[in-house]
Amino acid sequence: MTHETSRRDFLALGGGAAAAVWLGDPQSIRRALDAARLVAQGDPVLYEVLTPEQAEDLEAVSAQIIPSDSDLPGAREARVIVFLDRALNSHASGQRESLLEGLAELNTQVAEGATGATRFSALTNDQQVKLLQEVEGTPFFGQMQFLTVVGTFAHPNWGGNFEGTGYRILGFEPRFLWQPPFGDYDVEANR
Amino acid sequence: MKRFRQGETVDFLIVGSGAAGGVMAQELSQAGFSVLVLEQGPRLRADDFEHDEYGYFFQSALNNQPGLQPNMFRATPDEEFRRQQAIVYHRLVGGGSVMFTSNYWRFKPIDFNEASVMGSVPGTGLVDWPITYDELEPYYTKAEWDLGVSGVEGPFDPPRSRGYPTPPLPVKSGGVLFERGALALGLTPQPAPMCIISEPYRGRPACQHCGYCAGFGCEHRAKSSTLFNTIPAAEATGRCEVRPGSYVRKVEIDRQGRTTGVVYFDEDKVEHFQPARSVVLCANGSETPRLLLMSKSNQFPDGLANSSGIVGKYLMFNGNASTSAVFEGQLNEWKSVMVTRMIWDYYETDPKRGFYGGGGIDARFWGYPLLFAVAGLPPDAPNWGAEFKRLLNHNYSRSMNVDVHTTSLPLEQNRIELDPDLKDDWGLPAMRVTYRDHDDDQAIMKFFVEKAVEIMDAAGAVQTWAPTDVQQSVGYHLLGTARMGNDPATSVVDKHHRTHDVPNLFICDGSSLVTGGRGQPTCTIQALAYRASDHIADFARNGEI
Repeated sequence: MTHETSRRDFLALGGGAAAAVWLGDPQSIRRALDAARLVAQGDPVLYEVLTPEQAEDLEAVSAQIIPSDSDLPGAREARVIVFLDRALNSHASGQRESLLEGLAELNTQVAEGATGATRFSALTNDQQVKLLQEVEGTPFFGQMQFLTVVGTFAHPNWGGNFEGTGYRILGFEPRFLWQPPFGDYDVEANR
Repeated sequence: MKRFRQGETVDFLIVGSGAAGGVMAQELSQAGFSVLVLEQGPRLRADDFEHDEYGYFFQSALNNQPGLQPNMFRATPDEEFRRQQAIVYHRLVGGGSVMFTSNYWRFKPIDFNEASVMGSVPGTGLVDWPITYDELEPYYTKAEWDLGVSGVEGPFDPPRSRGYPTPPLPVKSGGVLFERGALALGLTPQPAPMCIISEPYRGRPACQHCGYCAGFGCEHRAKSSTLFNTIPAAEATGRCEVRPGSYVRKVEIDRQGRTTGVVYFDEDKVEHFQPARSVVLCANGSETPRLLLMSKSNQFPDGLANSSGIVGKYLMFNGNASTSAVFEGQLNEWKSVMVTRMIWDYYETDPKRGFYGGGGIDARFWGYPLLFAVAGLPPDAPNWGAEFKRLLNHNYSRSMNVDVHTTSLPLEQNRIELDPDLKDDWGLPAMRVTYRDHDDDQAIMKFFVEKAVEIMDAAGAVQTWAPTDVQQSVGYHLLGTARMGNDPATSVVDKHHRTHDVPNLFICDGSSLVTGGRGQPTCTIQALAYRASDHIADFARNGEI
């Protein structure tokens, strides 16, 4: 995707194109939030839509989009897969079929390859990266990129961004109460 | 709190409770009239607001939802309409005044008589307003002091009879850098006037710098929205009721051509007729013309108050483009309000440029966490993998934006109409929108974008980038669609906001604007609402409605 997007165009994504795909009625949004809050309270995670195998594979894809490393957590620690499962059962249910079909096609590519693996999550890290580079332009990858970013950085109420994982990646502190100076350049002006 | 009986006749029925409707409710109820405000959205308390980008920006939690209130769109009349959201407005008690960025620019004298001063632009509807800046000035002052604004007079300010009620908000790092770059280029940066209080004011606390202004409600009530200001004041009179969840579908007319009230759906989609002695439409520059067009009758076959045929036409969005920069040090622009510094050096049309237009430029940051992760990195950045994550981590606190806000020429072909086929969730005709910037609007935006990048480069940015396509296709500023004027053949309302065609029907919102100013219309919409309510109250007292 391109980042060359004006603020208005981007906000229009919310009001328009993205929302057309991500169309949710208030009731389904509420269900998703309720489910996410249960997760946040520590109740065991039971997938609503995904099979355990699908969850493993999709989580592996998301973990390549925002990988974990020794310094900072990634999509896996953000529990993107929980967000994604709940989303597919609520406000993004319209995407469920295409996403799971896309995953099935990805796994078909895995099985047809020479690695001996039959599922994406069974590939080595380098094999996963190579395959995702090959499918980067597909609708499935676009969906997963967007879902992973949302699941990592959206408000934790939606089921992802577990314990502020996304905020840690950005260096954002969710305190919501600040006093100047705010950054390196306004210290003098606010002295 | 006042609750009118279902069907009880009120003096004034106001459609919409936003920037204009919220002011009108206060002024008319304090003048002694009974006032009912019908608002299609819900009523929220301060602690109901969340910092939920995904809900607010992607799921349309508090604005018109594309699934429920769809639009059709085309850029020019020779294109086919396609389903595409072109209009975005906030849908809650207080409306856009709750959710806006809070830039609070007055228009300047030139905005009211530019056609006379600069000459007309062929093929456009650029004309003078029927009022001058001087006539509106007392109401700008009233708006600023009644609502609560922060700022300080700058070198390019229009004449003002009083200063600002609270001092400027503390400058952010982005503001300091903007100032540095602008000064290096010989420009004159100044603190941005904001509809956010920097000190406690009339029982509300000062800004706490939470960082969530644009697109969010203020849980501290420091943003001076009508929700926490004029609407409670209206209700305190005991003569005003605000009825949320009320979606008006028609303004009714009697045989004498006077309005008798409106028909609306309640939140259970049950239809009611609400009688009123006068109706005031403050439903925003898209819903007001839509409601007029939906209110056609035998007497008004082309839509109510539309004898001129221009209801819905001359739609203006204002020009906007956002440029970006990354600096070496930490800016932490995600803290505090969106805008602290701006320039007005290029406000007026300069014939030497060869095209009409002007505007302002401000330093800001729209990088809430999710928005930044989706669209905050440079165009050549990857959008997945280790480098994507590294850039998110490195750039987030080092990034800022410089936005340009420019003129939109009023064009007859830019318009809102009723779609003959597509319906909303209430079975009402959906809006269909035709909108393309005039070539001069495009030229002035590109000129401003170049200036914005120059400012950031002069400030020492390590990387800058700008959009290549600045064509507007989504409207947040909804202006000009029931324009004010003296001639009933070329305008919808007179200079007192009374419709030319229906003596007890008034309109005051973005639709009343004759020209769109330079990109920040809310202050003018609210000044007009204070002024209109003065006149309307006088008419009512004198039996002239």
